[in-house]
Order: sequence, then structure tokens, then C-alpha cells
Amino acid sequence: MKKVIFVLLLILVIFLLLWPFAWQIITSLKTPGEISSFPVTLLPKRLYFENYAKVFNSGPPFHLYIVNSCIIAGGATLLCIVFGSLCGYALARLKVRGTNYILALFLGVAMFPQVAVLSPLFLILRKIGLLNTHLGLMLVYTAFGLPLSVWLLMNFFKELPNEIEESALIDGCSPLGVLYRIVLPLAGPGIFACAILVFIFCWNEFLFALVFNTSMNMRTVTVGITLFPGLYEIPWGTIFSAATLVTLPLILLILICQRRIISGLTEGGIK
Amino acid sequence: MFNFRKYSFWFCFPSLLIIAGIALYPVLHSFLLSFFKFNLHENVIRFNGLGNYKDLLIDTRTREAFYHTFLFTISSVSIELVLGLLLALFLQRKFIGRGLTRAFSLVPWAVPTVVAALLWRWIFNDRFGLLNELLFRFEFIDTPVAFLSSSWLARLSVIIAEVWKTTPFIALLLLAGLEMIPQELYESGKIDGANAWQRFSNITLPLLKPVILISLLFRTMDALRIFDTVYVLTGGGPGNATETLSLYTYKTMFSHLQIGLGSTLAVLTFLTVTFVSAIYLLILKRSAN
Amino acid sequence: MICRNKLLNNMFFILLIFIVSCSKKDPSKVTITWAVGKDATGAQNKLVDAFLAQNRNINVRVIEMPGSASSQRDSYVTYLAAKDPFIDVYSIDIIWPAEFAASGWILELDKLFSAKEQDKFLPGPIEGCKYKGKIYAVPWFTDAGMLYYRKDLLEKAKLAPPETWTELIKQAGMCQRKYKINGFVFQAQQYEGLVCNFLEYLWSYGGEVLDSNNKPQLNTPPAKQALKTLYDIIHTYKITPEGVLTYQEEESRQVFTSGQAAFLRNWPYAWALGQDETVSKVTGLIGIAPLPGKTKGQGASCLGGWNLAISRFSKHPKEAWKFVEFMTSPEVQMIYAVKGGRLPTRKSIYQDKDILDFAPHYRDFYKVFVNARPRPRTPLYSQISDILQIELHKALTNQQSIDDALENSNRKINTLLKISQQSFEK
Repeated sequence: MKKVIFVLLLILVIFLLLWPFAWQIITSLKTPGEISSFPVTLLPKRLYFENYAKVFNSGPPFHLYIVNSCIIAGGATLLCIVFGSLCGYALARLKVRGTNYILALFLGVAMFPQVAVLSPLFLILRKIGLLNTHLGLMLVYTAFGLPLSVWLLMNFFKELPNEIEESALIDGCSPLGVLYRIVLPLAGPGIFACAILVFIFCWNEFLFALVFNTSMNMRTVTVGITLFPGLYEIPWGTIFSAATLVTLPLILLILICQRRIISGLTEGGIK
Repeated sequence: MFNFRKYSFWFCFPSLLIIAGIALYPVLHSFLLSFFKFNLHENVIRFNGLGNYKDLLIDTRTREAFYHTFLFTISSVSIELVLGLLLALFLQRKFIGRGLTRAFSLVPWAVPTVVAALLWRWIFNDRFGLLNELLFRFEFIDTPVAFLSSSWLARLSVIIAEVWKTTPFIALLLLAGLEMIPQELYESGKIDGANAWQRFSNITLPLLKPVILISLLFRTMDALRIFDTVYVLTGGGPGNATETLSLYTYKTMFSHLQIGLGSTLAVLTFLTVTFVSAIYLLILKRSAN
Repeated sequence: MICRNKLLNNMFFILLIFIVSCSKKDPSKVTITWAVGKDATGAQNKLVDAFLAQNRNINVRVIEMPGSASSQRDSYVTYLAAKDPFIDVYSIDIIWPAEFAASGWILELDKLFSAKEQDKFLPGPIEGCKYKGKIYAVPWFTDAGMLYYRKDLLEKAKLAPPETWTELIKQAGMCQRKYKINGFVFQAQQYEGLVCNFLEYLWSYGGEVLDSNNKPQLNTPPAKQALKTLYDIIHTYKITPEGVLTYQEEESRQVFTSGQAAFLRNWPYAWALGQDETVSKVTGLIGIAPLPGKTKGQGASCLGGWNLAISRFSKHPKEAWKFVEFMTSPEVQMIYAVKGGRLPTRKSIYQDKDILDFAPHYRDFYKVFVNARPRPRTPLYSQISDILQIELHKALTNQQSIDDALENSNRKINTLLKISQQSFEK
């Protein structure tokens, strides 16, 4: 009985989470005529994959945008995790003068509305010649992803039992060694969660990507998707196909990573 | 022993460098501009003291934008917290297909923001939208409802879209927090004869509290700057009933080209967020002691 | 789109030969950059190739922006406010020239674009590109609000397309009752499109947003009649779905092309979609007419369209002008119309026999275009529009009365103009 209730609950949870996404996929498989036909059909009359083909052959090199987004979001996530765990560890464990000020500074940057910083950021990137490069956007995203990373990681590090680290330090391990060998494996789930959040933030960012990378080959996927609508026309099918195409790999990536990290590191690490 | 001071400096250095090099200047720049009357289309730039602040604070539009922003933030973040916690507790249990469910539970967060808003616009469409179709099929309604055409329905729609999109954010963080609670604590709790609720309220909740507060902190900061969902769903309508601070800022800067006034709005948003975060941090500190 | 016309095909072929024959790179080449909204047909890029073939010493870099005007604007404003020389030629919306000119962002073109040459263009777009009597951009393609109707339904009832709002309301109401579909759909979400729709009512009643002394004229009887008509169409006669208050162009177009409405107010883009069998259920059943008016022949149409302007910060204004001249030349406009489906801004093309053979509906379009009016030309337009969007939408969603909406708009616009007057004087 308990099992049945659990399965029903599971189905309910999945349904609540996924129905809008399911509708996105269903719409992406309808013909343009069926999308705007009345009464609405809950399932496509026949599967229409033309929308997916259009994503890649309607002009802008969409596959390139996926690559760009991977490089930029991946790079920024890596930087955020490496720098963020260093800083988070220092703030959690090592005695840093003015810890509170540093934390406040990070928060302050994260709190500022991004619309307002667009123009000055543009000037900075132009000055250092990083407009229309992967590195430019990567650095911007790192700067805006770091506050979350530092705060989160610091917090996760604080939660860990201190004894192991102290004994390792006494045994002559350097703080860097302790961080790398002991703390990071123990904080696996936290780091994983943080990495996913930062990656998706970078992957989905629109305004900076739109303005800083204007060259046709340097666009990212979110901007790429907005290249499908015309002045007035909204090709729902193509937009939803593109969105599905860029969301699914992300899920796959999470699936693969989480097996590795969550089960591999924590269960092995704590015991 | 080691010279921790030296280490701590070099550990923090790269993060501080990037923040200072990239993000600090634009923020300070906006602060400075908020004291200027600076309109691109009038070629005007002159010092205005606190004039912009005064103009905005007596403006009913600003007050309404504050009201809508708070309304969206409070309702969506509190719903998200409850749902996120439930989801995290659910996903922590061991069952077949857990990995898959966990990955899928992130789908809403992973859908590009621009598209998620469009998707909801499409779902709320009065003629071709899924919601109307379902309500109609199950005979709750007999004429189509235009969800985005009346103030409260439109606000509710924005909240629904926002909750759907960002609940996974909180759930993921809480799940990570849950995963890091040592299992031994639960086992010893069991031995002491604590029931499930007692274990939850005495072990899980206290240990989860810092993560809860941090995820609340970052979600609130984000929610106070809600933009895309409103921009795409309603454009601020009906009759400006859903215009938020960041939407107003955006219109002021990019549509009206009033950079000074826009910066002031941004600073006001910033101050509000700071105020709210300060409250969270106070709670966080108290709970840590 | 298949082009059966010999002449046009030949012309395209000749241009293609030019492209092929041009290949070697020249070190003395000047590169100019053109920022433009995405064109799904690919015609834009072919035209650029043709230009390159004619001008061996110029290279053109095309930056395709998202189609939506606001996304383009966000980027352009950032570039121009930073006085960035990267983009030389901007394609700009018809409501931007005054603003961009007042900001000192785009070059004045009076010496290059003579009055005589301007006469060859449609009057509306030329008006729209002017600011304080000087011209700042060259009209590239045009757009105007028009009435789409279901030919079949009107023919069955032996009716001619409506020429007044009263007729429209009557006919739409008849179709709604008889066929259980909506009478009339248009755009009434709180956004720029609502202002376009409202202006068409306002102008047809003889009203105006600003008079010649730049005083707002919204608390006048014509304005009240106009808003009353718009309100009544939605709430009194109920010939629209309630959702019209959330519609932008696409939503209203979809209702019409799925056969769910008898009349549609939209831009010309809906024509091609209406004839496309994969999209539309009413192919061949659509007619177009100028928008109705208060009385016969008084209809007014709101002008849209895009124009080419040269950046003040461009390092190669001469080459940029050559490019603009080429892109707005009669031949190119003709090709762009046929291959890209964009509507020409030159009057002569609407009289061209080949074009009319290819697209007979241009005859109907022209009737609309010659009378289309630009929205108020002031650097404060986006603020005025913002005020109107909010106040009008409040009235249409029953949050305030019609009189209050117009009174408020008038007062707010008045204050806005006064404040900016002061800052100009200082």
C-alpha cells in the first residue's frame, strides 16, 4: 500500500514539474497549422520533425552557438568553482581579516540590477578588447556567478567536521592540499549543486550575450533562439524545438555528472 | 605551523580580482550616475543631487513597482521554499529511477529563461493555450479565460510561471544540504526512539537552516529583480498592474534613454535588496550562534 | 516564393554573376559594418553580395540582430551611447530617427539625399525619417496597418468591405452571430502595438497626439470618440475575444488565419502567412482594404517600417552612404520585395508592371501606404508612447474611465514636454 502511494506521489511530482515542458515538446512536433488550430489538439496528429530541421538550416549556425555556449558556460563554471572554493575555504576556515567586508562586497555585486551595469561593462570589455570573444563573456559570467559560489561553498565547508582537516594540517599537509584532498571530496554534493546552478545561469543569460557578442559566429544559444522570430512573426514550433534541443543535453549532462559525483564521492568519502 | 594570513590572501585573491576588475566599476559607475540628470536624447548631463531620488519617491509609478515587486517576491519565494523543501525531501529517499527523477526535476530551471516565459505566454493564450483547453475539457469554464487581461489573474499567472521556473533552484540546494547531513545522526536518532517528524524537526531542520537561509537569500535577491517573466508575459500590463522595479528600470534606461534616472532606480532596487538581505543575514548569524 | 517573372529573374541572375566574378581580396579595402534585423528569407545577404560585386574596394560585414525591435534597440543604444565606431550603418525603426538624431548618433543626410530624390519615396516614411526639417535616414522598407477581411463571408452576405467603424462593427457582429466566430481581432496588449491601433482611431476621428505647437491634444472630443469606439468594440459590442487585450501581432494573426475571426487589423506580413497552406485555413479567402474611418474615406493607417541610417561615429561615412544608396535603389528594392517579401518605399515600384504581375495585391497595399502616417516625431516619443500604453490599457481593462485615461495622458505628456523644454533651455 505504502509503495502504491509512493508511486502515485512520484507520478504526481513528475507531472507537476514537467507538464509545461511536455507541452513545449508536443508543440514543437506539430505543424505550424496545427499549432494554431482550434480546437486545440493535445497530441500532434502526426509527428512533424521539420521544426527541428529548421533549427539548423534556417541560416544562423545554431550548432556553433551550442559550442559557444558550452565553452563560455563551461569555462565560467570552472572558474567559479576553482576560485570560489579557494575563496570560500579561506573564508570558512582560515582567518581572513575583514571576512565580513569581503562577503558583503560579493553580495553587493550580486545584488545590483544587471540592466544598469550593461553600458559600463561594455566600456570595460571594449577597453580590454574582449568584445566578441569567449573569454569576455566568460569573465563577466564568472564575476556574476562568483558571489553565489563563494557564499554557497563557504557555507558547505563550514558544515564539514573540522577534526579531519586539523589533524591533516598537523601532519604537515598544506591548506591547499587539505582543500584538494579532504574538503572538496567531502563537499561533493554542494560543489555539484553549485556547479549546476552556475552553469545554467551562464547558459541562460541573454542580455550580456546579446550586446557583447554581436558577431555572427560568437552568439550563444539564448540569443540564437531569439534569431528565429521575425519582426512580428513568432515561429512557435522552431523556437520550442530549439529550446528542447538545448535543454535535453543539459539534463543528460546533469544525469551523468550526478551519478559520478553524488554517489561516488560522498558515500565513499564520509565512511 | 603555516602562515595562514599569507595563504588566505592568495586564496581570496583571484575571486577579488575578477570581482573588482569586472563588476565593481559598473556598480560604482551606476551609483555615481544616480546623482546626475543624464538623458541621452536631450544631450543633457548635469549634477542633480538627490533630485532623481526625490522625483522617484514621490512618483506613484515607483511605489506601484515596489508593491508589485514585493508581492511577486514574497509570494513566489515562500511558495518555492515549501515546494522546494518537499521536493528535496522526496528526492532524497532511495527509489528506483531516483537519478533520473532528480535530473528531470531540474528541467524547469534549465529551460532558457527567454523561452520559459514565451512558453507560459503560449500556455496562457486564451485561444490556443493549453490551460484554457484543459479547463474547457473538464468543464470548469465554457468561455475562454484571458488570464493576462485582468490585474489579479495576470499577477497570479506571473507567480505561477516564476514558481515553476525556480522551485528546482531551491530544491537542488536543499537536496545538497540534506545529502551532507551525516547519516549517523539519523541512526542515533532512531536508536533514541525519535519518530520521523521528531527526526525531521530536531536533526534535519536545524542542520539545514544555514542552507535554507542562503538559498532564500539568493532566491530573494533574484526575485526582487524579476524581469523576463513579466516582460514577456504581460509587458507590465494590464494597465501596468504587473510592472516591477527592474522592468521600470529597463524601460527608463533603454526605451526612454534616461540613464541617470534609470541608475537611480537601480540603486533603489539595490538598497531594497540590501535591506532584505541584511535581515536574512541577521537571522543567519543568530542561528549560527 | 517562386518568381515566374522573366525580367526579375534575369536581374537576379546578373547580380549573381557579379558575385561569382568577384573574389580576390584587396589590401586597400574598406570594411563597413551593417547591423540589421534577421531576415529569414536570406535575401538580405544576397543583396549584400551584389553590392560587394559592384564595389570591389568595399567589404561589408553584416551583423544580424534578433527580429524584435527591442532587442535591436538594446544593442544599438549601448553601442551608440559608447560612441562606438564598430557599426557604420544601422537599420532603425520608423519611430527612432528623431530620438537618434537628437542624441547626435546619426548623420544628417540632406546633402546626399536631395529633396528631389526624396520625392520619389512614399511621403509617410520620408516624414518619419525627418527631424527638425532635416533628413536622417533613408526609408528601406515600409509597413502600415491594414484591414484583412474574409472575402467569402462578406460575399455571401453581399457586403462590400467596411469603410467606417460603424460598418465594421455591424458586419463583424453579423459574422460573429452567424458563424460563431469572432468578429474582429487586433492588438491591444499594453505595448507599442496598442498605441499604433489607437492612433488609427484617433486620426480617423481627426484627432492628434501633439498639435503643431507641440501641445498634447488628448482631452479633445475626437480623442474621446476614438477611445470610446475602441472601448465599445471590445466591451459594448463584444465583437472581439476578451483576449484581444493580451494580443500582439502574432496572436491576433493566428486567430484570423485559423478561421476564427472575420476581420483583422494587422501589418502586411500577415498576407503571406494567410496564403501559406501549411499555416492558414483561409488561403484564398482573404481580402485587404484600407482601415475604416469615422466617415467614408477618412481612415488612417499607422506607419511602420525600417530605415537605413549612418552612424555619426562611423569611420567610413562615404562608403556607408554608397551602401545605403545601393540598398535603397529601385532595382534592389524590387528584388528585396520579390525575394524577401519586404515592401518597397519607392513609389515607382508600385506602378511597375512586372511587380504588379508578380504581386497583384500591391495595388491594394499602395492605397494604404500613400495615406499611412508616422507616429509623432519627437525625441520624447518612447516616453509619450509609454504614457499612452499604460493609460489606454487601464481604460480598456476597466481600471479607469475613458475620460480619466485621456485626461491623465494629456496631463502627463504636458508635464513631460515642459520638463524637457526646461532642460533644453538650460
